Parts: sequence; C-alpha cells; structure tokens
Amino acid sequence: MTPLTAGAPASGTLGGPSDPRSYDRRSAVIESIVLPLLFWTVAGAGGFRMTVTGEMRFLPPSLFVLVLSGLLVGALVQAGLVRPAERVFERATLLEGMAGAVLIVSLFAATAQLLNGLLPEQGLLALLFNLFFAILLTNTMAAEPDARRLLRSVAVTFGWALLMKYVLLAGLDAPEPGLTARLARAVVRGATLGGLPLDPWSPIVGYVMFASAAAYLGGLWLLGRAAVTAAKSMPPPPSS
Amino acid sequence: MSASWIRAGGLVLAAGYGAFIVWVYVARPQSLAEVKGGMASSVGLYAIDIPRFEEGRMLFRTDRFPEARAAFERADPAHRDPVTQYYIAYSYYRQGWGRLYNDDALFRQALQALDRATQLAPDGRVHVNDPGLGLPDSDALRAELQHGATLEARDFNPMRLLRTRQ
Repeated sequence: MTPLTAGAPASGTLGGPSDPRSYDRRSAVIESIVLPLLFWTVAGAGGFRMTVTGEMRFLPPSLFVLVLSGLLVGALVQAGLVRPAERVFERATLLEGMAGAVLIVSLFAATAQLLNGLLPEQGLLALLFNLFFAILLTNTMAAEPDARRLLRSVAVTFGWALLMKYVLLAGLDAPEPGLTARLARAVVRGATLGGLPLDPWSPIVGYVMFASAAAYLGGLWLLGRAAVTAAKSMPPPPSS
Repeated sequence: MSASWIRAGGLVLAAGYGAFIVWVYVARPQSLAEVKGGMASSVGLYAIDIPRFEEGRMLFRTDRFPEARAAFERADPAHRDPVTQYYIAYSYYRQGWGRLYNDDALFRQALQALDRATQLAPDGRVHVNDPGLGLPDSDALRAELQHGATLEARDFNPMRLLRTRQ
C-alpha cells in the first residue's frame, strides 16, 4: 500500500512514537474515541435535512444507498485503507477487537448516510445519480487504486456530487433564477419529464453536507495514517 | 491512563453516541425541542407545563382554537404528552366541524395530531375525563374524523343539519 504520510515522525524523544506506551495510548484514542465519534457524527448529519420553514427531517438510507456504501467500503478495504480482519479478529485482546468492530460499523453508517445526503432523494435524478455512483464505484474497484489515489478519487466524486446537488440543482430550483439557470432548468425539466424533482431544503443543509464530507474524508485519511503507522511499528518477518 | 482504560471508555462513549444517532433516526424529531423532550422522556424526566396546559383548556372551552393550540404547543413543545396532543387534535376537529360541510384540511391535521397522541399512549388509546368533550377517547374521535373526511350517502340527509358538534 502506498503510505499516506510524508514521513515518519522523529523518534527517540520521550513520549514520542518510539515510546510503545505513548504510541499505544495515542492509537487507542484515535481508534476508540476520535474516529468512531467522527464517523457517528457524519452518520447523524448525512440524513439531516431542514425544510425552508425550519422543520428538521432525518432520512434513513434507502436500500440502493446501502448497496452503494457496501461498494465504497469494499473499495476502501481493497485499497488497504480499512482492514477489517486486522481491526477486529487479529487483535491481542477482546476489548481491542470490540473497539475495531465499533469503528467498522460507524464507518459503514457514515458512508451510507453521507451518500444518502449527496444523492437526490427522489425522481429520475435520484435514479440517474444512483446509477452513476454504482458505475463509478464498480469502475474504481476494477481499477484497484492504492489508498492515496482512492482517497483523491472519493474526494473528487463527493465534491462534484455536492456541487451538483446543493449548488447547481438547488440554484436551478431557486425562486428567481438567471437566464442560464432558466435554460438549464428547461433542459433538466425535459429530461425529468416535468417539474424539477427536488425537495426544497434550507440552504443550511448544503453547508452541513459540506462539513460532513470534509469530516468523512478527514476520518479516512486518519484511518489510513493509523494503518500505515501500525504497519511500520510491526516487527519484520523472520528471515528464512 | 492506560490504553486499555482509554479503549474501554471510548467503547462506551462510541456505543452510547451511536445509540443516540440511531434513536434520532427512529424517533425523527422535527425540532430541537423534540430532541430534548424525547431524550428527557426516555429517562422519565419529561413533564408538560401545567399552567400553559390549563390556559389552553380554558381557551379551548371558549372556542378560541388557534390560541388554544398555541398554548398547548407551549405546554408540550416536544409533542410527548398524549393528553395534550389529544386536545390539539380535538381543537382541529371543533374548528373544522361545520353543519353543512367540514374543513378537510383541519380534519387531516386533527388526524395527524391524534396519531401522535395514540403513538405516545401506552396502550395505543387515549381517554380523557373531561365532561366538555363529547368524544372522550381517541377511538371515538378518530371515527368521527374519518366519517367527516369522507363523502357518504348519509351526508345528503337533510336531517344532518340538526346534528350537533361533539
């Protein structure tokens, strides 16, 4: 796997990475507290919507979104960013295994709910977005990218999905659109057999999704970094 | 602090937080007041504002239904009390009731409030001991609302004009 960090931190200092107890405590904080809380927060925020009248909605993921999140988590495992077997089964203690399991579950929940937030909720646009994501993710798995490239690919995909749903399509649905927006709206309406099938959410939802996507990518980066550090700290295999 | 203690604490924290997120998606609160009320209710600490509730009942008895609903909303901002939700449903019913025709939109809102009330009641049925209410339980009110919201042959009976509001 391509390392995600530029280089190993300085060693030999008190409490530094060379101190096994300090390293163990740090990895425990990241694995058991920081990452699960981050991913659960993303899972909570991904289905959050707010109507223009200020009412909150919490939308659970659809079955198709769960399939898409399975594909994305599969790609993360394939790239070595997530290693479920090492995180859960190949641990020294039951407590470590349970912490790893909670982390994997929270990662899956965050992935599902973030995709839920980035895809349109209903109509032909939802079908098109879902198909597009399914093709993109299977194509990514077929390409077998390393961790760094997969992270970039996911960041670009999420960025475009955010722009499409919360900037472009939300702009098309604005009460007073400009000429370009009106032309694009006419095209999209033709493609969607009638009105623009978008729910009129409050603009705050776009900001929440942006923060969620950034937090999710940050979590993945941290997860990959922890995996690399753990791999470096492992003793070399015995020579034959 | 050892790594084991950090892992144990983190496990409890992450599991608790995850359970809270799951609860949010099951309960689907529509406002922060409902989030707070739902959490307080789950540990048995939620209570309605009694003076506001009595104010709502007084306004309800004088047929000032929108004002009564506002008072009931203030009394039960989290929508967790079945009796208050029953009164809200009843206020929609009485406001929407008409001798010639009923207001379907208000009857629909009454049914929504009644659904909330019955979901909150332990046995799925709300009974209120108030002599001012012609329909003392949720089953009777639901039947009356469903009759009112559908067009039936008896709606064309001229004797309908003599019926009374419950």
